[in-house]
Amino acid sequence: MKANKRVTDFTYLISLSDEDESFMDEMKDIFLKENPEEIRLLAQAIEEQNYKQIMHLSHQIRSSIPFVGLDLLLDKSLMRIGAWAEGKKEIEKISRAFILVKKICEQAFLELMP
Amino acid sequence: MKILVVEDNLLTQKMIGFILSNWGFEFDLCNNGLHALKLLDRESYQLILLDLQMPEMNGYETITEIRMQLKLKLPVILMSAEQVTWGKKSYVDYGFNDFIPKPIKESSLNYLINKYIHHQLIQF
Repeated sequence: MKANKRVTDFTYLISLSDEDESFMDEMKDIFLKENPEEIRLLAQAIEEQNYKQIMHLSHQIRSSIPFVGLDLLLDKSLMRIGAWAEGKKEIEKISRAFILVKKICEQAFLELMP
Repeated sequence: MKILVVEDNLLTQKMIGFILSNWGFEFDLCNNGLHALKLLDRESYQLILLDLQMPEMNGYETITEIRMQLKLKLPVILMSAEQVTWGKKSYVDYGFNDFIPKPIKESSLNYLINKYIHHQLIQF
């Protein structure tokens, strides 16, 4: 079975941090702590068709992903999820788009785990 | 020279705080407009970095309060993932002085802070 291509990238974080290792570790730890919970809550919000919560969480995740380099893969999906949620419709499309978001975030989590 | 950072995303808060510390700025962090207004009531700032989408009180509501109720004229820079227009209005029409897209580039932040704080220093 082919190994998944690595999804995380720290170019942006390195450029901001001036390669300060302890700062970078702190940022990765925050992502590891917060992102799984945000994904869990977003799944729940989609299940409940809670569009306000979907908007809020998709925005939160979208703000966090650049720090681990997931924005190239996921920014468009999260932007769409937010836009559909703002229109309070397209729950099926939101649900489908979320599948990719969840998959990539879960892979990132595995890559970041110490 | 104190800067107020209004941002609800923890990673973005940490990143901006790290950069401002390295540049030698004093700053306060808060995660929504309501908290920002409380701080503005008792502290003096030279610049605000203001996020758009936040719980309880978002960036639109916060800038309106800053300009119309508190009547503060300090520079406010909008931070957002998109170039925003609201109806026919742009961010300038709402009272923001400038805009920085997310993800934030250090060079862009540096340019804008120097533009507004340096400008204030010249006037002062």
